[in-house]
Amino acid sequence: MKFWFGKLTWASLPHEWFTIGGALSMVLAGLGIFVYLTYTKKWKWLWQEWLTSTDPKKIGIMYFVVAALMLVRGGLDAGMIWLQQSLASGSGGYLTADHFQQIFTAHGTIMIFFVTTGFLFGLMNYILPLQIGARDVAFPLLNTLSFWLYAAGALFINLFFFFGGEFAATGWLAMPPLSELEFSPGVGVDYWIWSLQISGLGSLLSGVNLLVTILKMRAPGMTLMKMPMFVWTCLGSLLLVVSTFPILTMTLLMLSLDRAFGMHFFTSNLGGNPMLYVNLIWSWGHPEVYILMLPAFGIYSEIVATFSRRRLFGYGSLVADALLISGLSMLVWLHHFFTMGAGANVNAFFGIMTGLIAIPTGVQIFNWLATLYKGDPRFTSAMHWFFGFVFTFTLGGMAGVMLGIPGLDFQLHNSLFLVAHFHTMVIGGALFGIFAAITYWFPKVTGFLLNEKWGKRAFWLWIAGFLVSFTPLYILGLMGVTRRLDHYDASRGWQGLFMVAGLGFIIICVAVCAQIWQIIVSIKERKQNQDQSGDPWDGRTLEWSTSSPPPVYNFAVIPEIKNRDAFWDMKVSGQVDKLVSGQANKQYEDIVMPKNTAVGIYISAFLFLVGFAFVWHIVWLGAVGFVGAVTCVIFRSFDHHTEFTIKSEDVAKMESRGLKEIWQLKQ
Amino acid sequence: MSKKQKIIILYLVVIDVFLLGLALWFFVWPKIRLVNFALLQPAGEVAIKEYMLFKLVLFLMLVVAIPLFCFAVFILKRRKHEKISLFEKNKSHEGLWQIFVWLVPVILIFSISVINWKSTHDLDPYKPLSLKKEPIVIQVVALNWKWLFIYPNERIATINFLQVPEQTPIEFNLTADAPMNSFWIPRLGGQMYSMAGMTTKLHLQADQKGDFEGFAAEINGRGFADMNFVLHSVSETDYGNWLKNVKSKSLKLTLKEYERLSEEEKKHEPEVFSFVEDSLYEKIMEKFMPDGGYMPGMPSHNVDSLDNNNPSFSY
Amino acid sequence: MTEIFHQHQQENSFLGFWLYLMTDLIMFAALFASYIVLKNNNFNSPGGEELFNLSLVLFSTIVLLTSSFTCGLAGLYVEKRNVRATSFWLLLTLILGSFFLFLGYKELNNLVLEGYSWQTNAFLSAFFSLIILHGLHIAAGILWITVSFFQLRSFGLSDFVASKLRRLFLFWHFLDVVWIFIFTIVYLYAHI
Repeated sequence: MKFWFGKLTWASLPHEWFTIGGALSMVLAGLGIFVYLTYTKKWKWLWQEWLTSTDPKKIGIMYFVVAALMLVRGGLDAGMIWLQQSLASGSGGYLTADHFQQIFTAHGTIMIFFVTTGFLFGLMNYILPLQIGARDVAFPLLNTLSFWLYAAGALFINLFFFFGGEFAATGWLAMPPLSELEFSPGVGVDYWIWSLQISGLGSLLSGVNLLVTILKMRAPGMTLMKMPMFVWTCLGSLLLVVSTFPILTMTLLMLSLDRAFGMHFFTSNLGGNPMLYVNLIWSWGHPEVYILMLPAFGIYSEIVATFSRRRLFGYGSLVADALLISGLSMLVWLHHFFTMGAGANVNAFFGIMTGLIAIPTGVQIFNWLATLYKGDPRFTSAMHWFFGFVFTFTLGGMAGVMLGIPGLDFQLHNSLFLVAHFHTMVIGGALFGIFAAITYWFPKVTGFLLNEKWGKRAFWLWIAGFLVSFTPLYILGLMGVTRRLDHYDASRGWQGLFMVAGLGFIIICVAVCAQIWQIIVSIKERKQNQDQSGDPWDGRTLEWSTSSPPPVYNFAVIPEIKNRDAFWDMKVSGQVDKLVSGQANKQYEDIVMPKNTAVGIYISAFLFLVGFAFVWHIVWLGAVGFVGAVTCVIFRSFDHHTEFTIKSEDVAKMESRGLKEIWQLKQ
Repeated sequence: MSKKQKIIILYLVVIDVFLLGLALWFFVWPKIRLVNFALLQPAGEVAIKEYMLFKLVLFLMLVVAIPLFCFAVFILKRRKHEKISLFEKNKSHEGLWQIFVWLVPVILIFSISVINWKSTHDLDPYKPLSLKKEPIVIQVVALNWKWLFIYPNERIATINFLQVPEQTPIEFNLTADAPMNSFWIPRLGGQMYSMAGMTTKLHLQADQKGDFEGFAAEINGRGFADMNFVLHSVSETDYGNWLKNVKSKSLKLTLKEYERLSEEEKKHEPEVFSFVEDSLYEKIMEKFMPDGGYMPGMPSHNVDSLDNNNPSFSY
Repeated sequence: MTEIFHQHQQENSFLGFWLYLMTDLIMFAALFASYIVLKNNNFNSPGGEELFNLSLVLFSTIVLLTSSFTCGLAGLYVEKRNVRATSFWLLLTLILGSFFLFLGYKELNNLVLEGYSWQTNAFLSAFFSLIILHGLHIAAGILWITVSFFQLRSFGLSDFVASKLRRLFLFWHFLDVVWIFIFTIVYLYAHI
């Protein structure tokens, strides 16, 4: 029995209120989708059009869908955290300490690894090829594999509801010795490790994929210094991905070897060194936050340029900023553990390096504001998010500089001040950037615009909710409150501020409802808000030269690039006029596109089994999963027919349909 | 939006702000005492220095942040009337602006770096304090889920409770017999990690009499939120009397008692022991490292407070 | 049109594979760093100086280096589109690689039989992990060579197959370089 089921027993199945609740809600949701698909007979459509697609545009949308679902899960965790901390004065509170610790671990892990990463990789998949004038990414198979690995990881992290009933209770980075077998004997930490290993592999492959895309698949004439800023910041981010995700892989592997095979990398005894883990994990961890920030900076660059109707002020400076931030972020990791006793010289060095990163970040903001100053700004809802970013990110950045000074950090480390700081950066920086990106590129993806009114309302609600939620946390930090407390003495006087923070959470919930309502209203009004020209904002970069949504091959004819802001350049030199009036000599050629493939799904499914086998110590299942994954790879390597051709006549037909809409030029 | 809608929204906003104000008045304000702001109410030399550092850095940051905000607001408020043509004029003082925009952050960060270097060395937790008095040595052991404090020179021990004389430097040596934790008394100074098999150091001092709360600042398991303790700072004479009092108590911290204590996993009330096993602290550390063995990854300090049998640093 | 597309694809695949190898190198680097930090933590057990059999390791190093040489020759014959010579040198590489694995297995097995396993202390955990990780990569390379035989048989030395083989050779040489690092940092350094 033990051979077939490993550590699985009947007791592993859901038997507590939250595991039953979680499992039930997922089963019901899944059942609902199943019923809907069967009723509308859309299984084949789903499989052919979406799940096996190698089109980065479709993959991008799928990333968004999964990331949005995980946002709901992470947000629910946040709500539970708030509720507990508001009630937990004295003997109040409704969660046990162990349960509470699992919730905030899940909250952090999900928000970083699955929500932000998912949104940003989805965005890169959709927009990057369009902005560099390419038809696809460099390795379409790797692309679909990366997405399915990410989805498998997202599913895996929710699997504990069904089997095991516990998640890691160690904080989102699972420091040893707490995460070793001695202090975390259950399967929680293993679930954490393997969901990150599976999705981490996807991220790494995406990194390689998109990096080669940027380096090798730009349209002719687009030198590096003619690329849009979003592509530059993605380049900086991807360089970090390929340099640092392997460190995460190895560190998680070492921890899992400790737990599965009784090794002693990080145990407290027999020579293990937990400080080694701390160094390694933060060598990955700090670049990770810049991996999430840099594309957001790129998004702001695009939005500011478009809505100032002016080229970016200081393009070269912004490029230098992106690369500097990317490079410097690899030299600051120790600022996450100044208090571990490394000595004044080491601490001071890393503190100074941390301060240095503030320089390019500040320069960026000045450059954007200068672009607005010199230009003719239009304050659309996307610009609202930009200004929200300017205010909140600056505040959070100030807190960050304080935390980067070891003498101060000794008082602020692991307090709620720290928690407020990094939430400010992630929400004010990355999340607002994602919302701005969604507003900005929504018409390109769907063909109609989002309702501006509700977008602005959602913004104001978000920023109000954010301020009401996190200002109390800054204050609590200054009161000397540590993070991750599941209860505290009633006499401390902290409860009031926790409740105010809770009020902020409720406002954010209202804000999210406003955003959902925005989408509903926009869908209802889509006929009036159609984007017929493909260029609703009078944009400057190449993606606006395609129809909305773009055809599967992006560009019928790969454009020749002469200057930065390639599409604006085309408008200025009259090329767009020629295209519209049919004067341009359009010789269409056959286009080769990759076929759909289910290999990504299969490999991810097999690796999912491997992860499950590791968690529950089921050797035969691990072998099956591993052999299965390898077999898929081998079979695929024999496959010669992975592309199909769109004949030039068909291309011409698709294009002429698009040209029937007149491109409006706003003079 | 019609006028009516605007008025409704205005009413809603006013009501919400009013409710928020009520909530703050009734629930938040009464509970907050000024002394709650531990970081802003320093009571020891280290905390005072850290507080002044906080004010200095805040001021420097605001010097850049406030003009930035004003600039952003100015852009928002401004209504430009000239139309920008499709063909832009190039070269509009870009180079000059770039120099300015780089110079300001560089100067700011340079000054902060100087402050950083100086303050980091000044506030090094391993550095003895300025008061040239014989420090009280207290050995701290983080357990599941309580703090054990050993006074090796006085040969007594306490749990979740410290008593020290005011205006006397305290040298804490920290280790753990549990997952990594962090020892923190906010009103007296910064925190320091306590890790199994290793020893770290922290110098603190209470400049006034009073009770100062201490916390565990790094999660180490289920009972982590219970690991609070209090440091009582009293006069010299009161401290001496307390020591005599403790010596008359009956509880003894033998090795066996320690074993029992470290296994026990529930919340612990403050307790005192009149007797402590010889070299208990060193024995606890030895559990995790062989005698005279290589100590991995330690900071390169000169530490001479521990006895020579057990070197705790190696490079 | 399709030819240009494929040519671009193969260039991109080569660059992509290089990038992937660099990430693999960083992964090894993290393990190397851990080994260096932990190598003196033998916790009352013998250290590397006592446990490592340098002559056996030297022999397996020579075997692996020779396999790299045969691999290089195979690479030359791929460019000349000579299927038989390529297969021959690939086969030699396979045999030498397998022999290397066998020698490595013997070395680790001896240690375990003497009572020193990956559970004994941190130093041995790091040591076993490093050697076994490298060995797993070699095993993957051996599997890849085996699959390549079948591809050569089915498709001959087309551009498609040649491009895949180039990546295989890159992988094999990379593993050789990693082994040199292991030999130096683990085995030689222990004796200093």
